[in-house]
Amino acid sequence: MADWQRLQARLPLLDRHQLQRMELELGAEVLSRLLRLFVEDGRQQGEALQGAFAERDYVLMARCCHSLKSACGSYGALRCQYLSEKLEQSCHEQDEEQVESRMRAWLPALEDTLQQLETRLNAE
Amino acid sequence: MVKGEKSKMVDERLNVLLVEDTASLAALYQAYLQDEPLSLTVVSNGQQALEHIRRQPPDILLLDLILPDMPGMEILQWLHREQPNVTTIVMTAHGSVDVAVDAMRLGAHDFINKPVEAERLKVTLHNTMKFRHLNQLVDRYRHEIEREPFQGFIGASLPMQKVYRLIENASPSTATVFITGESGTGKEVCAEALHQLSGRSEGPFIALNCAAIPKDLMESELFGHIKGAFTGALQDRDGAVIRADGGTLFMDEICEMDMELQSKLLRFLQTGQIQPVGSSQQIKVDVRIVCATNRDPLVEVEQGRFREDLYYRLHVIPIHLPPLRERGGDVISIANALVRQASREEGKSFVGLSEATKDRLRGYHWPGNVRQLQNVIRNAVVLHQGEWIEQDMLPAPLDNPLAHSTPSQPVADALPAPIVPLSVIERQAIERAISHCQGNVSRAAALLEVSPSTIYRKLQSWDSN
Repeated sequence: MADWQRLQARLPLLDRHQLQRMELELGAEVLSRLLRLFVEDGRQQGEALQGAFAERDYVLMARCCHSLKSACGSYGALRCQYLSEKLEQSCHEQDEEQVESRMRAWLPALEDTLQQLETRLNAE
Repeated sequence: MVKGEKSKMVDERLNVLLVEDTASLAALYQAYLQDEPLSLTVVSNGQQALEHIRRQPPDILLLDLILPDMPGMEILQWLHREQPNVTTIVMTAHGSVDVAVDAMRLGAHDFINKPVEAERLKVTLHNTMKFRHLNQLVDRYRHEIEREPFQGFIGASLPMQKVYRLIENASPSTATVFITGESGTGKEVCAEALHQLSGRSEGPFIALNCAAIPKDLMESELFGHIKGAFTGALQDRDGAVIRADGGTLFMDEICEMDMELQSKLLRFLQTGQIQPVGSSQQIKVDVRIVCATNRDPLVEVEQGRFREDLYYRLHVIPIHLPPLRERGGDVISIANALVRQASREEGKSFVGLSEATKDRLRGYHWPGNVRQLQNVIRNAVVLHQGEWIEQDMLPAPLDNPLAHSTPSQPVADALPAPIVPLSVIERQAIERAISHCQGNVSRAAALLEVSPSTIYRKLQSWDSN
């Protein structure tokens, strides 16, 4: 197992401390609205990334990863942030093998993260 | 942030444009900034950003460097060229120093790494607001302080800024102003500025050079005379004081005034009344007195050449004009203005000074101050052709590379030379000019501001003698 795989597996899907801090800064209502928007964005970006992956369009993939990296980092989605960064790097390097293996890790990470957020939002 | 700073900024309500293509991020930044004293507009791509900036330039731009339709760097370049007043904060997930340096080089004010935390975003914006506020203050003060040109003066050096401020403060008053400064520093320009900025500017400005008028005629020149007051007084004549009624009387070279007349001037200053020569009538006048000297008036008092009581009566608001050698870069500003003026008047195409010429002008001591600089520039413009005044176009002593490093003694402080006949001085001057011009009489004549035939005539007369 590569280093990045070991590290990503140890990273939490969501940084609870960051979400708590955001709730304090913005209030629960505003945070919920923003998290819903993030989930929506995440799904769209995820679809765009998968579409670009099917086309092996590494330039578009890198762009999607770049956007996801910032958004995930801002909302405390640590594992997705890390994997987006790694995937962006592989896309820039046009390393087909790495792109495929990182994509395989990235897809469930995004899905699990968005699922966890939806669960949280539905519980409110 | 220090308490109070925020409230200061509330009034400003800066316009901020956020360029962010990820909706959840744009919304997050909006939420972070919702309580800030600014008006935030969000656009999602480069094209929208450019259109918005063209339509309504924001005060601050929050710019993502990676946009869906164009690189953020292109927007930075465009801003640098077209909208330099927009202060840009670059936001990027690149996080590399090179990108930050490139952005700064293109005019970005600050740089935030993504993901952006609320506090970091707010602090950066506050710092940027303060930066803009300070810049505006600096611009305002610069506009207020660096008055150039100022009432006939050219030059924005610190010593001259002090002079301008003094003139502005002193002009509304009727208090007497005593201007000191070496010859050629602009004492009359200063007096005229005082007049123009005063409530008397619609009234007359009369200038009287106390050194240029023979002692016997000075009283009449100053106070006027009546018909028959002395031989040649064929009719009544108003003096400078009467002619300056309602305005300003500028008495240059006041220290050259005869002691007897000084006491009459003192009486006028005390009473506000004058008595024309030969008359028994007292005439009340309303005149603001400005006087000047290139000597040190206190030394003149100590030496007994100037009345102490008159000195204190006149020396109410002293203004000292700095010599040109103490005015830093003013010499170049003045020289450039003189080149343009002389070029226009002489029908030449000079546009300015070469860098080497500037160096030489800056290094010279200018014992004759601005008046000497005027002569130097006029001489170069008249005798040469071109676009730029080059070093070799400068007349003596500026044509000598060593001249600029030799400190000259100011004219006012120079020791008096032994008195020699005028004819000897004339011959020395002509011979020196011819020698300087390597025997070229026409060029020597131009430098001496006489016609070549005058020089030939002189040479012939010396030969025959």
